[in-house]
Amino acid sequence: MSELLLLTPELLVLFGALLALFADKITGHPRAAAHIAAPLSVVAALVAALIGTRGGIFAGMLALDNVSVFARVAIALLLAFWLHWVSGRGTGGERSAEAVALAMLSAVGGMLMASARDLIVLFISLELSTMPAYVLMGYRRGDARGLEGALKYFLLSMLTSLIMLYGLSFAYGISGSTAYADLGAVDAGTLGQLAIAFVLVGLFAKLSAAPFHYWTPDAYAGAPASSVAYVSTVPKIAGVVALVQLVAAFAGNGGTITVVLLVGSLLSMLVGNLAAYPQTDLRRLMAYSGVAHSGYILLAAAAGSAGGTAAVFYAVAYAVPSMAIMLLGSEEGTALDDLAGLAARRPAIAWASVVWLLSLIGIPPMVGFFGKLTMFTAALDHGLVWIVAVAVTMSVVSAGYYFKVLRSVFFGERLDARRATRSTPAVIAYAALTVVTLALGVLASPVLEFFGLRF
Amino acid sequence: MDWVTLIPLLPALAFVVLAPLSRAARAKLVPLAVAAVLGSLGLSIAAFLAVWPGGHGEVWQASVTIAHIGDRAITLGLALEPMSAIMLTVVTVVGACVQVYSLGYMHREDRIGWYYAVLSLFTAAMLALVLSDNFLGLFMAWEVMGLCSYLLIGFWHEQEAPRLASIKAFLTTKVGDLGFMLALAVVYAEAGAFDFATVLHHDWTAGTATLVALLMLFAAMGKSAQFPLHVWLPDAMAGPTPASALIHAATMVAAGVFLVVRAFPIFEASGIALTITLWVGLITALLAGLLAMVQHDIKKVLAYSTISQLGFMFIALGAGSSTAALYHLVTHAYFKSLLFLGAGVIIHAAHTQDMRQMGGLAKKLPVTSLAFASGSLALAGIVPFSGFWSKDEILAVLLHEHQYVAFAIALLAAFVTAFYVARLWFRVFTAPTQQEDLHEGHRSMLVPMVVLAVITAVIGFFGPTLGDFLGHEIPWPALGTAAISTVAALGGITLGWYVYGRRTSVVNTQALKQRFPHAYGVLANKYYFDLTYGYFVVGGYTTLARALATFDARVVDGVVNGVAAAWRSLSAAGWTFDGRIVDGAVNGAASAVRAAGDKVRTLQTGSVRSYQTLIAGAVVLLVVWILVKGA
Amino acid sequence: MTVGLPHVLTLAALLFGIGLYGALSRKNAVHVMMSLELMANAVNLNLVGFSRFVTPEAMTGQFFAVFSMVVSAAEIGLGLALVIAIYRRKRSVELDAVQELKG
Repeated sequence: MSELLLLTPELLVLFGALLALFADKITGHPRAAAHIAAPLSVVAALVAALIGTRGGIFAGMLALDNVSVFARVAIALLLAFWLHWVSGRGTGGERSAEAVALAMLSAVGGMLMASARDLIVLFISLELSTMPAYVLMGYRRGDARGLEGALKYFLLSMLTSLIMLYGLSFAYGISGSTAYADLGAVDAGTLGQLAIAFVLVGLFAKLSAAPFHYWTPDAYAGAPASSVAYVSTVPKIAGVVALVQLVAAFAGNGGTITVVLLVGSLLSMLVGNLAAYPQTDLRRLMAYSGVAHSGYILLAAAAGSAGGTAAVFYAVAYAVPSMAIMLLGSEEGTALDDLAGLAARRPAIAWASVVWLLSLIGIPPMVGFFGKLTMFTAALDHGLVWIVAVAVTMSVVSAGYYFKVLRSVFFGERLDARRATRSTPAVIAYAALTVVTLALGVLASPVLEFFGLRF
Repeated sequence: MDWVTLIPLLPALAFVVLAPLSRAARAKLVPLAVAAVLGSLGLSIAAFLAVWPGGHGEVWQASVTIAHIGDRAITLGLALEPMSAIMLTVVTVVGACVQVYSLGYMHREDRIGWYYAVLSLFTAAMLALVLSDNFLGLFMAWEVMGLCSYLLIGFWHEQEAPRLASIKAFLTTKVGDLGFMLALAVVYAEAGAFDFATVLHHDWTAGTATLVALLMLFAAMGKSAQFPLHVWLPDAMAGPTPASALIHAATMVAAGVFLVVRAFPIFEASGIALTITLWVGLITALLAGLLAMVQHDIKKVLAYSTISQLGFMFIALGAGSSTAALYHLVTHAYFKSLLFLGAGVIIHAAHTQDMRQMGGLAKKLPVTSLAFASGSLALAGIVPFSGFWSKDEILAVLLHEHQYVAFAIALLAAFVTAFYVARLWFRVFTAPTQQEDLHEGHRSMLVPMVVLAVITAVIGFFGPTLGDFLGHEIPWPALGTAAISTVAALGGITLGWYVYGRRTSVVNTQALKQRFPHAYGVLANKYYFDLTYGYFVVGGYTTLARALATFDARVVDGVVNGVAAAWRSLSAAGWTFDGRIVDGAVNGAASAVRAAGDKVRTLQTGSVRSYQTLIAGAVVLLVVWILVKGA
Repeated sequence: MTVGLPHVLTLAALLFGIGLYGALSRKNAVHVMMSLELMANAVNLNLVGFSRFVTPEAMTGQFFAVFSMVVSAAEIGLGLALVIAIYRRKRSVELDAVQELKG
């Protein structure tokens, strides 16, 4: 029983999801259930996660260590922000209660994935976090583009997760166990290396790292921006934790895994940053930017345990401003031209977007800088000088397209001044995300200390 | 001694208090920002006295660990030693003068609170930069300063020019910053730490030292607006004049020089890097000086003059004397900020920045003209004003190192400097009056100028003292070099007087234009640098959104045509001395990024089946690689 | 001849390969999903085979296979729903009919 207490946050979020789905059938107040009760349960989950006792559950199939607790708190926090924003704005369709429930279910999957210590749990939680995402992406039933994006996401993600599952089956077959702790045995032999490579393929696709990123731009570009805000951020954090822990579990096999990670990193940085450059739609631009950031993360993941922790921290550092920008895009319109004149219409939000974008470029004192600093120094400690040089160069190139967004925000006038409705919860969500972007950058050390994280 | 931390912290706190407030509340709290910088000034003087009489290492140091990477700790720290003590006083004196001056200059702005908030953040960052005891902290402060510079250049962001200029400045310096980041990466990989003590005492091999030094030099060139990364600084004049005085004349642009001074042992270990530094400085000092000769906008003259003077500091560095560079940095900070503040009064009085519409201001603005005279004489290098001593020290170093060609070029640059100073002075102050209702600036603007003017007039006498303080020697000028440089300066002034100062003509630019049409055209167009840069680099960034609004195959054609057109003009233009090679490289880099982006996009065909095939292909490659490689 | 682990693995690999080929070559979304399902079954065979020959008493692989089946059933259900929604809009389930989003 006491073991189950460790799962309180997951259970609370699950409970909230069920509330959002069914409470209106009982009480007849769909809004109250989805936009008050469900977010409250997430806040409760956040508190429970912050209290965060460490320990193992179900004979070590799940384990909460410092990294998992950190990731779980981050997921709950971002979910809370997202739900708060949705409570004011709604999502792409009218059935926002379902969107709330789906996002919460996906978050449960993500939280479990962050503490998975067993291949079966990993697989199930991975699917649990992904499947609601398909639905969120194709959320507008009448929209052919959204459905197209969702179908592409579905088919490609299923293909890669089957390849991953194939790899998992070999990993189990070779080590004779599905526990992470026994995976060190998978290092020798060609078959073991193939197994590891296949597992990485699935995780790469999950993180939209090149060359398995093809679903990302199309799925994002078709989906409602509010869904993208969720799908591009929260599941990614969980994916990075899973990647880092698997890499550590396979640690016996230095050579192959490092090469695969570095090649993926290099490709992602190049493809993401270059292809983002000519984009004119915010969702597509952020999709490629996400590919690029996955590249930096893979680089850190190849740099030992210090790099792994830095990668998890950076996943959060990426997710916070990135969610903020997509939410803003959902409110203002996703073509870059839709943001034109934002500075004149909503100066405070415009300046907040400066903070988000500068954090993504990696300018101090925003959190993006601290994240990149720790990742790159960890990589340098592993002698990866040249690839760090590429990463640094590409992060400067990225300033070009992030500034394109800023240019839209501060330049020009939008001709159709439509969509005058502004929602207070949305503004609060922006403010909260901005504060986290800044505070996590300035107060990174105490935060890390609180979670007991060391690079 | 931990109160030293307060020096950067006070302005930072002012920013933290001001930034989140409403516009009206911020405007009310402006005195808080001024009080903060005055507090920093007081503490800086105390810090200076604590280090006095100098000549030794650090007297105070404190650091915090921000992260542990493996078993190494990444720390950020501050250290007080002679060089940082001097820089502290320079930054806080100029900073305080500028903030007091801005009370008068900006009082009609309704966003004055935001202006002061950013100015405070800038001051905090600059103070942190000079106090930092490691390259990482220096870099962070450096980035924050770039951000503040961007915000202040774009202060009037409802107008087109400042917005474009701010983005141009940010992106150009960002390109330079790439050098800094790469240098940091190499430094950490090589020395395993960022702090000066470890890095500078590391046993650098010549190759690595050259790599790090050149990367840092590149960063410094971006920040200090050295050829060919100088293009952003003249445009940065679109910001408020007092902000230009602080950021784009006295402090931030000098940060590049400061970085090289800090990293000087690495430069010395390289040798080649020093030579390159020398030539970057020489080219910049001369070219920017020539450009200053043909500008009509008073602020642009000062901007090019700043570039040129920063070039002198690079000359000193390249010649191997970081002390001379630092000396010139200090004197230049005072006299150039003075000139900018004076220009602010002039612009307020004349309601224009165009010198052709000014004249006769000496009678109308007596205090300003006296203060401006002090700054002008210092810039021209006339004894006993401060610029004379430090420029002389640079020339002396060149002679001592037997760099005779460099000496000749530097002397020519000094001559050109004196010429454009005379041109500016005679046009603005003694030419026939063109406007009647001119008023002297407010007292809050005059007092800071007088303070700076006095410092400019007397600081030269303390050269040797400064040298002792730094633990290096700054001798009194030798009679020979002093005589040569004075002749050059007087020659320039005389020529300037001959062309612009005689009462016979208002402006005889037209005659000059007719006599030397080609040379004048090249100079007036700034060697076509901005044109090509603006078109290919910054234009590439900023017009992208518009140009690509209707994105389709045409863009690819456009790129191809653009490259072709560039090549055509390249071959057709013939030889002009405006550095076509740089254009070609820059042009190539910009279109390469764009073309590569388009290439990558073509993979994203929109067909699921092609994606599946690509994924399967990647997996097959992976399998083949593992099978071939074997266990 | 007794059936051993290599036989099971080879059969599974063949099934996986056939499924992959189908997924790449079919133009019809439903066919592609059927091929993917074939790949899923290949993996299940792998899991059960390993369970039988590597950990006969723990049955870990069989549990894994059961979970995998449940997950893929859910996944295919979701996918078919998507395909039906697309069919309603486009009157086609050809993959080549959905390539509006690109670049």
